[in-house]
Amino acid sequence: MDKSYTYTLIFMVLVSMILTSILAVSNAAFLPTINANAWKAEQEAILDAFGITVDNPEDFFEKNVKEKDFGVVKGFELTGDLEAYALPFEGAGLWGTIRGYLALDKDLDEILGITFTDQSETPGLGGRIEEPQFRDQFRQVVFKPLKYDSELQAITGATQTSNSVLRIINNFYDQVLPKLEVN
Amino acid sequence: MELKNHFMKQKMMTKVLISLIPIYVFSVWLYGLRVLALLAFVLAVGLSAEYWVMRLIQGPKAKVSEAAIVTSALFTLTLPPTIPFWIAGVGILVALVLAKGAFGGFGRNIFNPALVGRAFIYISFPVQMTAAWAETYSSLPGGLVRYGIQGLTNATPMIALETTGSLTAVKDLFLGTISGSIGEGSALLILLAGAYLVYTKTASLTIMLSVLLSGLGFSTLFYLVGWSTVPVAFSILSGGFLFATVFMATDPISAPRDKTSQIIFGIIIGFSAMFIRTFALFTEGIMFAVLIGNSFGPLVERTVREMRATSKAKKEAVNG
Amino acid sequence: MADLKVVARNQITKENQVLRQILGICSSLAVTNLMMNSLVMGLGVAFVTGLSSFTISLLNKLIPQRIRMLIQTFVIAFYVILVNLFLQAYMPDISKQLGPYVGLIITNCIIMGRAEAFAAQNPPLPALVDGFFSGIGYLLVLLVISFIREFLGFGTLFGIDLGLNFTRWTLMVMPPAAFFVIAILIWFTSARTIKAEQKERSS
Repeated sequence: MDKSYTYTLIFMVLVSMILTSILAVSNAAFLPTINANAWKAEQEAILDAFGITVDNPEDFFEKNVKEKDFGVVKGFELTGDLEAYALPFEGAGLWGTIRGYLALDKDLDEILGITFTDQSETPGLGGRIEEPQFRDQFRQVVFKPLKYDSELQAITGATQTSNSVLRIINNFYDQVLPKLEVN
Repeated sequence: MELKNHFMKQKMMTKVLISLIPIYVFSVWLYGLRVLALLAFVLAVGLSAEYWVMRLIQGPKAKVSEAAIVTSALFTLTLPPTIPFWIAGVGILVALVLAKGAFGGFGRNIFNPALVGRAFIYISFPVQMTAAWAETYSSLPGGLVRYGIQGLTNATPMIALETTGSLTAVKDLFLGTISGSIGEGSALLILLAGAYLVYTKTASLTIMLSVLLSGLGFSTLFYLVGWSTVPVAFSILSGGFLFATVFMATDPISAPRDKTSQIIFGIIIGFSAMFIRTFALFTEGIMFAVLIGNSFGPLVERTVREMRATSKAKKEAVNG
Repeated sequence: MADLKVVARNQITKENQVLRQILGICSSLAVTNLMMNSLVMGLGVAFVTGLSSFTISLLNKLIPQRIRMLIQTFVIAFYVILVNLFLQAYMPDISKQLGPYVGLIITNCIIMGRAEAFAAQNPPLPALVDGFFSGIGYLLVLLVISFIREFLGFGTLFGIDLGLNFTRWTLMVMPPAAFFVIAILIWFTSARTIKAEQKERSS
């Protein structure tokens, strides 16, 4: 003999209310920290693309970097001693989409750096595009269609991911760069 | 322990081994005697593993099937000539213990064991499997009297096409004087072996034709539509396509048994191979294509069988 | 009242959820690429299973039979969301690596299994112990798998580079390798358990 329907209904409603309110409160309590973490990671990626390392990234970012709408994408502008732009990019890698920031100088003809915020390439091989060794090759490089040679080297054993990165950058050069609205 | 008592001779398997002899001789000429050393190592590891697994399954009366020798021989032919011995060992272990033994031994494997082993090491050790190819010896006696390889090269026909867009001459692809895995080079020898196998009723002509023709068909289709820029002759004669058609797709255990299913099986493989080659970044689509075919094999067989049964029942109902 | 020590030990050995009951496989495959991920995931599952079994057992007499599974799901989801929020806030890097699998703890059959099979018929304290240690049993299996995968795939353990120079097995860092490793693990442990049981029966 089970409990009556009325009891079941009241029980369900009570349990729902109690559990959901606890969760709502927890969510509200945790949310600021979670958002702060996500934003902090984004800031660090952008500053890394610019090639800037500071003790207090958040402070520096607050003071010198602001959002900017370039028409075809929304990115960031760095002011102060160094003036530059950070633009988001995305494209197909071997296993999934690769996303990140491309930092260009004010005149849009030099790459200052590149960071990857999102990639699902093979850890230990394609995943190594995140390593400074690979990314530093792009610092202070003239922005034009690139290919691998003695100056710019792909990752051994990760040919396809390496090629995908160049493909994304060159695609950016062809398709996005001409449409950027700087003012 | 009487060695003979523990060995199960299988006539069909012996025929396959015979058909492989010319290919092995040719590959020794191309790449040196290391090929034979590699084969010996793979056989030693593979047969011991097969015996150990069969002991677990069958107890003291365990027998190593001749099929294990064939698997080892075929597996070795799919490797690059520069492959380190230990990697080949890992591959054959996966092939015979995981892809065959764990499923119950001879006659029970769902997938082609050699290809499972190869797929495992292809993904586990991508550098050794894709980045170090060997130059071939030329002129007699060539590699027949040498051990090691001539030199390293980076360009197999498929890689050359991908990076520089250059096409190797059809004549070279056909005769096989090109770089690549140990056995896949000579289309001529593979086709001769295939003819021998069909003539001795060892391998299914239906499967071979089905894979070949659907490979041709889809390769042409993708080329005409513009999705692929690879000419059809090139794509058939390179990348181990013919080798897999003759030796891998035709594995009697992992392929379907009746003709209709075999035709469908071949179409699935031909399509998958060309599709993967065109759209995915793997140059060796055929390996995965056969494994995909293996996965669908039982389903195709069962569907064909059921459809036959229902149409037969219908006919009897009308006539009876 | 069941002996708590026996309950705990059984969950780790004889009735191990992953190796014997073959439950919780999905996450075992996904998070075992690194030992740190396995540790965090395992502790998360232990925490969720323990507390949800405990809560469900407390509510035993009050829950109407007809919505039993609904309530259990609700309670489990509650704890899973709390764990997820906590990880996102205080361990964001690991949270990103574990990805959707923390949220998917709710689908882990181990937790519902313990709720139905044990918490529903036992007092709160044994339920807590049973639940928590089923998670620990799961954690130990995950650590073994990730030990093999991280060592062969990266050459590191818990992120610490061992400095050994051998060719990394790239397949080990991908989920298919987990299939292989877990299958071989179950093969070995099952074979030994079956042999032990056969010996018991014949003696």
